Amino acid sequence: MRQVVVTGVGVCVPGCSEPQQLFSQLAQGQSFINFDEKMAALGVKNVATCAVSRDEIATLHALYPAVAAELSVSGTMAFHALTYAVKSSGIDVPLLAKRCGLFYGVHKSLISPELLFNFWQGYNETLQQLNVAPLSEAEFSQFRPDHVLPVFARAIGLLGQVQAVADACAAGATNILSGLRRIRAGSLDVAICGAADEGSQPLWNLVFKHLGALSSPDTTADTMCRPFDRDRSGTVLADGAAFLILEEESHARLRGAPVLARISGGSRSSESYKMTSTAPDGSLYLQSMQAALSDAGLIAAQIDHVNAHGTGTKSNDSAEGLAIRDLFGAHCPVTSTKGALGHSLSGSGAIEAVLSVLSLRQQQLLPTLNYQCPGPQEAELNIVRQSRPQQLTHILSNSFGFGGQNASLVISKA
Amino acid sequence: MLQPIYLHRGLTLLPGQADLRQLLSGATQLVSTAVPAGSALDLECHGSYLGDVDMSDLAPDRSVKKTTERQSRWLINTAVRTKDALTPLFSGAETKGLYIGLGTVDCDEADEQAFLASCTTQDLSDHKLTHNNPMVGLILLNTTATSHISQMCQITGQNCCFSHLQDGGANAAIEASYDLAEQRIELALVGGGAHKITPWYLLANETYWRSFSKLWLTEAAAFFVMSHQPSANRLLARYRGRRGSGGDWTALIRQLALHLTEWPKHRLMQIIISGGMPDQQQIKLQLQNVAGAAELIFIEDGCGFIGAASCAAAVNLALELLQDNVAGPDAEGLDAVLVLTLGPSQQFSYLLTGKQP
Repeated sequence: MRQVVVTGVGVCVPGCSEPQQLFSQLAQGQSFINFDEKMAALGVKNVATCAVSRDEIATLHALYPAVAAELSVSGTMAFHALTYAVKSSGIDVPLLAKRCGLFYGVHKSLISPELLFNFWQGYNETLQQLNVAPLSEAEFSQFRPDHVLPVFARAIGLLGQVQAVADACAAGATNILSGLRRIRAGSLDVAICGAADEGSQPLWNLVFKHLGALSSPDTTADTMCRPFDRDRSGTVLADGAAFLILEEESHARLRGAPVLARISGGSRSSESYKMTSTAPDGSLYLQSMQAALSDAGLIAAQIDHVNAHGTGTKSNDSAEGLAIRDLFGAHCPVTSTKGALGHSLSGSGAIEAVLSVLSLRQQQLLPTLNYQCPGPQEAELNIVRQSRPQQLTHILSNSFGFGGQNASLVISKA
Repeated sequence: MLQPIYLHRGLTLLPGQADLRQLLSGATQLVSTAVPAGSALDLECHGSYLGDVDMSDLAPDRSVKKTTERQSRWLINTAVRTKDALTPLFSGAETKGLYIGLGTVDCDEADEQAFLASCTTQDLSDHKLTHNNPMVGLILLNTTATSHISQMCQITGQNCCFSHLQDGGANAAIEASYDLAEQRIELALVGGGAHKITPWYLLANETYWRSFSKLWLTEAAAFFVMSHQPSANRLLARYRGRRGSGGDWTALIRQLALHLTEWPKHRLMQIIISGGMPDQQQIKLQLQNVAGAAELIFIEDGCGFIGAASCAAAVNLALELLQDNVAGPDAEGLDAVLVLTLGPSQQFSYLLTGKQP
């Protein structure tokens, strides 16, 4: 079977747009979560997010002026991660022609309340007397899920296939799986795989708040997301983007590419259980992880670390904790970086795959912020609270989406 | 391909229970009305509307009723009824997958109008917090419809949702064929749904619509099944490619011609094209070199633009035509249909189906 390695990575999260720097900051226990100004301006206080600032977006627009007008916030962040990953891998995308494909995990890009309001003002006949100038078409086309793909493809000179997956919070991982499988099957030599989302967008926060999925207010924003902790109360939404360059191993080694890690396998499935929650005993999450192990040709004992989905919600963490304990035992080190970065929805699976790659490179575990102990009758896990060196060969990374869309990836030392 | 893949005809849902073949022959026509938002965008736009579907006989549970709206109900209804129509296939397959091409589900336009008269964004956020259905967040997610279909059809295997418009529908079919060929599943339920016709839909795709001389949007959904269980029609070939930015379809159609010469035993009966509307004339010219005596069918001529439903609708039409041709007097030799899907992300995909060689 053709082996698939990672030859480039890129990330863009609020406050950091370089992979190694992000890893270092997370290793030092830094949180990127703050009280959200956009929500406060709408009169909803004490909502924490990991939100990219206008200044950061302006900086990215200045870096990429040719595409600035065509991309939404998440598209802009993705573009940076994409170009960084492509550059760091050294691949010549045009030269690869149809042997290179682009796979993008995308969620629903909700437009901001301001844009929605302006849209109706501009086009609703009863309000036209307000004489509001209509928005430019570019401001709306950027919200099409697939609109970014031709922009990305044009920018990097891609001639091959493109695919947008919309598997909610699993999309960041499922698109990596799609790319992996095309390389394994021989139809591609390189797959550029990434995902992005603007979770901090006020409409998302409003609907998540209404669902009861957001964490309760706390004294400080950076303590509000507490993956696996007894006192957790919900998640914190975030903006984020990441890309990985997947490449057939002999192709990579022949051109002297940096080989950062190996994608050993993965799984993708639908629970067919319930819309809003998984099986409380974690059995469906366990199936996802076991299927990924089987695909990678590994057994549970060979996994040195789990990068958990770990959103900080009661139900997810409880079920995922039980699944991890039942499959890997209580000793396997577990990290959720969402305590520091929040949950970037579609983007999270790709970001966590990049962090897993870097953990393998550094032979270092990242911490889970704000964890003290599990709840009653919840699994006792080896939650990593402080970053530490660790011998790592195989890492399993989980991404579980609303509606029971599950994905697990096995990433290994090169 | 390691193990043969067979296609099984499913259901296509169109306004007024219309039949696509009858629409294309001119025997029936869809009712269409002017879309008001089109004039605001200087687009000559007509729409054919599905309205809502009655799923009460499918006995959906409470979560389905609470977390769906009409666009997702089209999809669920068509997927579940396709599965019901092909029950023996589903019973015989141990591992199954679900592959859907989707539009996006947006704000409920009727709901928005009610409060937007207040004209402040503060009112908007207040409204979202207090008046909205608490489940609106789930309703907005594409994976919600996927989850409901998975539950109602008992599909727990491979699955994926794809965006957007025709590309999403084609990607669903192509990805399903990969998983079948690579033996991760034995059966795939494949389909897609159009976006409901709203001002938002027009606005979000305005750059695409500008290339249409007249715009006819239709609400629709369609599903079919791929499996290892034999049927009259095999998947003989499939391909996914992309034209370059600023390029036309010429190079890809030439490549198609090259691929088709690999199957001399299959004489092409029809080529069914979806998504080619802006470039229809150019595509016709190019395909004449490829098609030989094959009839070219542009499904939008009969049903308008149906987005991510188009690939599955075209496959269902292809299977219907093949079935009738087998029985008909002209059966000899003409035994394959090509379904070609052209998407706004410049994607070019085809499925070639026909009799087993």
